[in-house]
Amino acid sequence: MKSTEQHVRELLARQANVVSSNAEPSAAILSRIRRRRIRNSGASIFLLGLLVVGGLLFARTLSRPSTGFATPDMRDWKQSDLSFGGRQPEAVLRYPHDWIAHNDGTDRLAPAVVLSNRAEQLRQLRQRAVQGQPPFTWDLRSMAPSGVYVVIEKMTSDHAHAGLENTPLPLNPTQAPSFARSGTWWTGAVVHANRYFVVSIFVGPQAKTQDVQTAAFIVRSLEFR
Amino acid sequence: MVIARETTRLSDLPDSRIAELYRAYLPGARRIAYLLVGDTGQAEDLAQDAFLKVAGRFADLRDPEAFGPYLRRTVINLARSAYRRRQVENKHTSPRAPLLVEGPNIDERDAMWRRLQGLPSRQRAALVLRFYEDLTEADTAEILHCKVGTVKSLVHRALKTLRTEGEP
Repeated sequence: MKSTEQHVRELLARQANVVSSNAEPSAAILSRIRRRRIRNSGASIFLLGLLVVGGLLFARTLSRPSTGFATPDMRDWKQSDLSFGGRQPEAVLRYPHDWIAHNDGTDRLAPAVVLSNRAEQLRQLRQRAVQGQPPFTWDLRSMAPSGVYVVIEKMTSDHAHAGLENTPLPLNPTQAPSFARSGTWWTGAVVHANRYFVVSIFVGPQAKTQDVQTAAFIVRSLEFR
Repeated sequence: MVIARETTRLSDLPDSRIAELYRAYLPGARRIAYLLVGDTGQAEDLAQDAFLKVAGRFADLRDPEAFGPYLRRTVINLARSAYRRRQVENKHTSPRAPLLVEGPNIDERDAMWRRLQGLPSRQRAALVLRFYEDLTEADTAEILHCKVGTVKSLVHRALKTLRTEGEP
């Protein structure tokens, strides 16, 4: 008495002979393979092209300044539109929007972009501010919820009176826990070329902690010329 | 069959080499396809489609000498898709007459062949790989993308079904 397994083995072996063992490829088969070959090589060329374009873009990114961000040249900036309680900031930047490369290929911040896009918003910000008070009295409700603003001002007597000159900006977020929290702001002093600057970082409630940390990195990387 | 290492791209293979691959591997693929779908015409189409698929991806094969196993796996995958389509088809058409090789106990084999065709596709694939291809349980599991225990279970259940349905 054969087992079922044995039956199955014999049946499969026998039935396999039903199909033809002729294996000469027809012209039609070879033609289909040739068509597929052409299709494949077309796809390869396309992928190669993608790779080259990707490589060029990557190389362009690497060739930027070592900070990884565009560096503002403050001499070019028009400051007339901005006035914080009678003071003029050196720069108002919004991360990350103002750190993108511009069409002139210089990778510098174009002041028109900085000011025209944000001037009205900042004007409203200033209107709510208490005149003559240090910037940390600004009303933050007019900020974009996900925005991170970096405001750089020359230090004035107001700032000095507020004791800001003795308040270094904690560029390492671990030194100031609130700095790394969204929905808040921080102001501190930065000394460059024997001049004091007040740097305020405003963080919208929906900004990510990583954005704030990056903003701190940008401040550290700024070139004051 | 040994395929030279340097000819790893399909575009590098001349028609003569493709014909060589075809002659070496297509009959086996066709037989497995037939045992899985039970229809010679469909098996032929299926084997050719599988060959075209694997040959088309020839440049991506990690080991060109493993063309046969790749082809076998592709045949099984295509057969399982065909099985699903056929299930729908069978609901609306009368079953095809089995094509049996002449020999002793043809009635018994006819019944067994019908029962085999009625098995779920994975169980049938497990039987073909284990008892026709004589693969180990581990190799079968790799092709079916399952564990060795699953292969044992598939074969056990298939044999049990064949045995039970064969009892008077």
